[in-house]
Amino acid sequence: MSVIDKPSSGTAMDKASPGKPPGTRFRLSFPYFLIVPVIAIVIWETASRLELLPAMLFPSVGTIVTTALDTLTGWWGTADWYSGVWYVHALASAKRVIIGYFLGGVSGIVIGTIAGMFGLFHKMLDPSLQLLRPIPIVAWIPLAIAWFGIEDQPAIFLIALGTFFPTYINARHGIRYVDPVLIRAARMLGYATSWELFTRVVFWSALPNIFTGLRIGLGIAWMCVVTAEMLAVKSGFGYMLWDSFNFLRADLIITGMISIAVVGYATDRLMLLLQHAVMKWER
Amino acid sequence: MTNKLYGVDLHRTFVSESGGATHAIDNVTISIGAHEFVSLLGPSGCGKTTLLNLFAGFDHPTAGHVYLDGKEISAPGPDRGVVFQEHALFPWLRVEDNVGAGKRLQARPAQERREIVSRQLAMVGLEKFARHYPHQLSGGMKQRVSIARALANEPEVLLMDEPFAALDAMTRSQLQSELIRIWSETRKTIVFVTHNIEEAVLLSDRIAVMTARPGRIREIIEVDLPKPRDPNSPNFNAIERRVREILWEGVSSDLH
Ligand SMILES: Nc1ncnc2c1ncn2[C@@H]1O[C@H](COP(=O)(O)OP(=O)(O)O)[C@@H](O)[C@H]1O
Ligand SMILES: [Mg+2]
Repeated sequence: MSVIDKPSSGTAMDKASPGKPPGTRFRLSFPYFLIVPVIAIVIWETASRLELLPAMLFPSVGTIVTTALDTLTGWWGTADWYSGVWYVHALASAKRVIIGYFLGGVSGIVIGTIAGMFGLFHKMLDPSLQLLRPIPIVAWIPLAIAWFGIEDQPAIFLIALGTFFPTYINARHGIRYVDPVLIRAARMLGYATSWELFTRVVFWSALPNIFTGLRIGLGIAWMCVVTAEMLAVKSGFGYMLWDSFNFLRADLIITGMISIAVVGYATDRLMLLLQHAVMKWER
Repeated sequence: MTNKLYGVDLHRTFVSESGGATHAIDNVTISIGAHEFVSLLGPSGCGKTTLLNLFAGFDHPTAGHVYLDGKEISAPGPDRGVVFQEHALFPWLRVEDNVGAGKRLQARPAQERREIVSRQLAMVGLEKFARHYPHQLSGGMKQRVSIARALANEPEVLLMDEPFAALDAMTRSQLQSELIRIWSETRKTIVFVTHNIEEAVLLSDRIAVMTARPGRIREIIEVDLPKPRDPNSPNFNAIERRVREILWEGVSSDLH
């Protein structure tokens, strides 16, 4: 065999630049996202000034903003018994969400992973779970109250249940449908046991699905906490909504709704940050 | 030459759910020497991948036996590195971690592993891309990483399944010359699947020309030309022509 000249391996064509792709993140652009809210506020304010409904049921934007800020600060007292106590209700809801979400999310991931890894387990368990899944979470409320009484436990139970299904289904799917060629790659590299293949390949390739399930679950968790608090609990945003309805205070109802939106959005962003931090390989 | 890989009386039949049988490999016997570069050449569907998977240990023969160094192959192992057509890199690992992912490497001290990884990356010309993720690389670069990953785990045999088939002509010919260089530097035994005649003649010491349905080896051709080879030389063209004739014979006899 002849000795072969070493061709210059750093040549042309199929090599991209080793530099980072130019960042597009911090580019300033027109804040298009503001257009819709501004229009909505203008329409709302116009409708409110036409006084088609009593101001109590259809308050002006100014009233809503004042009430909302008052629940936070207690400066004006316009929110009456909700003046300055926003945090109390935020914490009450958040506590239930955190505990219920943790329980439902962890069990969803664990059981989904086991069902994804072991066909027999999947065959045993999945049909029953699929039968329970169409039952709306609200339909569990009577049983939840009957079993756990009122206050935190029934709410936590509902949140855990609501979180469980999407995390279970997505985790199971991600684990089950891992690309077989990646499994082969790991096997040819010397990994043989199920545990090795799980930690080297299956878990990582299922992560995007696991996070999808976690994010869907988070939305459902907020839905569940509000529902539970409307019926079974005497604190939290859900309670605030229902209580304000009983006193026909639309400004407080809307404050409660905005609060749920803001907190729900913030926690979803947090989850997204966590996802980006864990899944560094995805842009 | 000592036998590195040996497959004897190999059959692999796939039975579909409706009961139909495909004889993907039918009565194949092949021996591959240490340090030899052998191509499996044939039209799509003639059982090349099936045969390679038997060597890799991903699949088992319906009848017959496969051996590595006289020991029967029953499962995949780090002694046989595989390069897949679809690169099969781990998207969540940086290039350097993909190359260092092999179990043998992971068992070594970190410093040693880093050295081996950078040596392998240098061999495929990708030192500068060590910190990149696979999705940031072009197809040709991914395939280079894939080769580096297989080699870094120090296999004795490299099994390659149409590794360059999805690449453009330019990149493909670049990688072909790099593979010739790597082969002569490392002296690995290489089994290379392709459906491209020129590629087979360019790279191989011997070419196993296969025919489809049932999948058989029609003839094994020695390519007794020094490497690197000139695809425009008369000797090269003569061998190409011979391979093509054998392939065509296979196809036309299929038609009868
Ligand atoms: N897992 C499988 N199940 C059923 N048939 C298969 C399977 N793998 C391959 N075959 C069949 O075996 C034959 C050979 O396939 P393959 O080895 O992939 O061919 P090649 O790699 O030469 O294109 C084809 O007819 C293919 O359809
Ligand atoms: Mg194939």
